[in-house]
Amino acid sequence: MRWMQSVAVLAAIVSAAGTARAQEIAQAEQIGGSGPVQINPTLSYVLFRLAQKSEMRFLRIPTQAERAKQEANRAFELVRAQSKNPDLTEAEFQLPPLELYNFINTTMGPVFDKQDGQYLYLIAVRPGSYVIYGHMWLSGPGDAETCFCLGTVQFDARAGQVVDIGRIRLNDDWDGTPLPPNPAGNRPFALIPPGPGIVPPGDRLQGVTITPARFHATGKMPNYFGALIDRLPPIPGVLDYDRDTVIDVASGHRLP
Amino acid sequence: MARCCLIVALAAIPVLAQPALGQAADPYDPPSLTFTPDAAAAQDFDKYFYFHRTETSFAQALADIMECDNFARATDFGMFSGSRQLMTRKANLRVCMGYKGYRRYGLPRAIWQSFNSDAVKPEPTEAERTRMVIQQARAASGPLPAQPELK
Repeated sequence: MRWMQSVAVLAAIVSAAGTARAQEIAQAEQIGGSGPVQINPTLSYVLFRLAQKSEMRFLRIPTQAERAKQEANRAFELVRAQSKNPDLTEAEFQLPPLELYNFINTTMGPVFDKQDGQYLYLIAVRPGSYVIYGHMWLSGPGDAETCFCLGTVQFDARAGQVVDIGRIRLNDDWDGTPLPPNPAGNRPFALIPPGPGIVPPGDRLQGVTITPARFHATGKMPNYFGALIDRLPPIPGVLDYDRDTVIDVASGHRLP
Repeated sequence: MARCCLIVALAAIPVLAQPALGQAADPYDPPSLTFTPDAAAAQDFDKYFYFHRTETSFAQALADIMECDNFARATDFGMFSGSRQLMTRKANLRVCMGYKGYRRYGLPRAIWQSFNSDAVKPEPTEAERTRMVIQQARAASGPLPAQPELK
């Protein structure tokens, strides 16, 4: 599978603060072509819409088991490093954050479909929980990358299903009412969840289970890639803010 | 500077009483932020500014500035370099501090440079950064600026 090959070549330079320059981020397996889609029951599929061909970055949240494995690996590597350098302390020893191995990026093409003036993208991913991390390039022009590090959403992607996350409105999309600028004067990105105004996918997914994403708010995340930082605007019933504190509306939790 | 080092350094700073009459000025006090506005300086206010929020303690301002500085300095590892990197760093500071409710006020370059740094290579020393962060936090939690807020 393409994403597995891409993960294998991931190489990141990580500073002491855990910031990274990704040399290669896993490329999402994007569904293009025509005709009905053959669903692999071991994979999940994420459907989203953009008004312009562009690229997005998602983070698969590492599972508890993966974090436990990372901790065990860290302990092993620490012992090995200390055998070469006995003065090395545990605090000084750092491995790249597990998150850095769990990013995927889409590319401008292939596009799954075009409907109602929107480009539909369908990507095959490992089942799990995903965060919409930001607008970042893998093959595109590479200008003005933005992470939603100050507030975004996550959703579950289940095996054998298509999860519809709606439309990601880019900061330079020309339709609709312009959103108020952020504190640096830049227009924000926005998420429009499935619902009114979002046209369901057409015939190519006939007979396939399509689930509207159930979103939860995600608290602040590191600016791993040194991008411009911003946050998604509030989403009724999902995401809100008290100044810079992210609020998961459904649970009422204030997120760190 | 690694965040841990800055925290250690800050712990050594005495809590911020104003110097008594006749005492030497506190080196961690911000410079005088009063100036006579002129059009030339105002043209650079997008580059040279400081933050302020009412009813904010020094400790809170310090925590906020350190958090936002961390987000801003992550751009050192990003895809930009030179002036583009500095622009991204300042934009990130504005976004982070802005969402926290801080307002922005312009300064003439000379005043700004006395407690801020644009240097990427070489970075300011740890002692310089510690001093500047404390000065910025004192300014952010200090008296309401006389100048109008920048929009």
